[in-house]
Amino acid sequence: MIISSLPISIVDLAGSILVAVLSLFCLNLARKLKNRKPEKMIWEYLFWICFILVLFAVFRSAGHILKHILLLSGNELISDSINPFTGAVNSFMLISVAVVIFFFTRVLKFKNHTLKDKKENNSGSILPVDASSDRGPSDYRSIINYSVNGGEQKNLMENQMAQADKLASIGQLSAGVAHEMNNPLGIILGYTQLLLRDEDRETERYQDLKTIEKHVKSCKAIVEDLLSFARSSKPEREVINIHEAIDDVLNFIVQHSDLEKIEIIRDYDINIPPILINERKMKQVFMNLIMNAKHAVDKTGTIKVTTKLNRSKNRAYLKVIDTGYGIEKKNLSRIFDPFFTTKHTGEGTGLGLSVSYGIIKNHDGEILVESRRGKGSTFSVVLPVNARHKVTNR
Amino acid sequence: MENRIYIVVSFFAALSWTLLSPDQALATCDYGRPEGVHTHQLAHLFFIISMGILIYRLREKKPPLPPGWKFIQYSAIFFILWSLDAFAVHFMDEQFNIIQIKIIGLWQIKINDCFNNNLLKFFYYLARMDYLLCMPAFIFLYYGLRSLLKENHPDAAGKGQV
Repeated sequence: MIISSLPISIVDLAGSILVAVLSLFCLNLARKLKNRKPEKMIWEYLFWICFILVLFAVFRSAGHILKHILLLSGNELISDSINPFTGAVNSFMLISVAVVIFFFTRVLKFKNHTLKDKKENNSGSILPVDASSDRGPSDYRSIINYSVNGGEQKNLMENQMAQADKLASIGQLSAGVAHEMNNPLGIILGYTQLLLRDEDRETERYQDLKTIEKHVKSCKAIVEDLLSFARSSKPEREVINIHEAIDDVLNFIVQHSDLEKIEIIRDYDINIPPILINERKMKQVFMNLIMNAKHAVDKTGTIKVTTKLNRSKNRAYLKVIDTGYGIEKKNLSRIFDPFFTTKHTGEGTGLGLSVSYGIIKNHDGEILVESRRGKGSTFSVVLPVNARHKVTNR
Repeated sequence: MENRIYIVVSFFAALSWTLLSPDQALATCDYGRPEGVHTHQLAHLFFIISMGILIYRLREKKPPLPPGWKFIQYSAIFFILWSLDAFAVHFMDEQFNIIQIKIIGLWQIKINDCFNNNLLKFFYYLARMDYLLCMPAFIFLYYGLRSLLKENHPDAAGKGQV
């Protein structure tokens, strides 16, 4: 059978060049992918697969092009002598690609198993923070002994302990600094107000003193917030209906904020008995959580406020669920730290959740956060209830 | 001390004898000339198996693969087809000499085969254009990587909650 070799030559030459170029483009993309998330082992392996494929494509293409050039120039003998070398290189490259892919598939298998284990242990981006962090290490140990079912849960418990310890340390530090700063600020404010009394309202000096007064008041507000976060004394409490407190806060927010496109859903458990709390402080917590949800939802979305009673544990659960951005996993462990915020400068002090944490802690409660990026966040407040409490007449 | 001298003298005597009377070294085996093509064929098989396992692992992945990985899966399928094609060509012309090629002009070749079967010759002729399978493999790999790069684009989600 005599046949034209032109199609074979054209496909071989054009294919060699195109494949070599394409493989280089692939390597460039794999490099970008690797650099984007250097911590991801999968991209590292993908890069090496592409790297070996590039070597394979370039060597093979070079061998084929050289062969064509030698044959066309009548150097068939040289072409025959080069053939074993190019064949050996190609074999080596094929084996190398296969070996890297084998390793890659092992990594994929390992990753699949890890994901499966995680799913089985129901671990998401959940960070429970036990606000009643006064308990000693021995208490934690007993909790661990009873409730640890797997490695994942153990890690969760360890994270919880570390989080509580960290916040307790920050609390002590904040209390010290806030206390030391509160007195001088009080003196500055007092003297400023004394000077203001004798000053004519139209003078420039009066305006300067007013500016000092305004900023000292801002500083005092922050210091007060810090003290709220750190203070461990029992607040003045009264027995109140928690749903009325939530409604007061929600109504206030609805009246004073732009919530036209945000749906607010209330789902209350009417079985929750009146709870012994400091109403003003607790309203502050509700306000912080709901305003946080509002900021996360931005313009359109849903904020759901639910309550539920757990009779067996004598606990009331309040949840503020939003459909906003969610919190990035790396930020979850820091959201209760004082002054931690992802908002732009001037939009938030980063004290709202810290203060809420301090208040809930003083009520022997817990504050928990569960968040998935892009799906939204759920803040849960767990408070102790006593069915014998009667509502205080107001 | 005397023992050491005996050991050194014996060693150098043995070394001198080895160097002065060379003979065939039987420690390594001679596999004969076609070992190159067999090794190359085994490399192709190894490559096919590894790509097959890659496809299996990617299909096994839960939740289902995003588009980027699907393109890489298609790329692996074309790499397998290309490798099978190349394996068949090497099998016919180099490994078992079923097909013989003779260049009879600048742009013409003569294809002969052991069974005088035109269909086999035509199959061989088509199979020689293996880049028609290799190229789609790289194109799918390129699109797969590009898609993965887009899917992993850093976004601003998660800002503003706290």
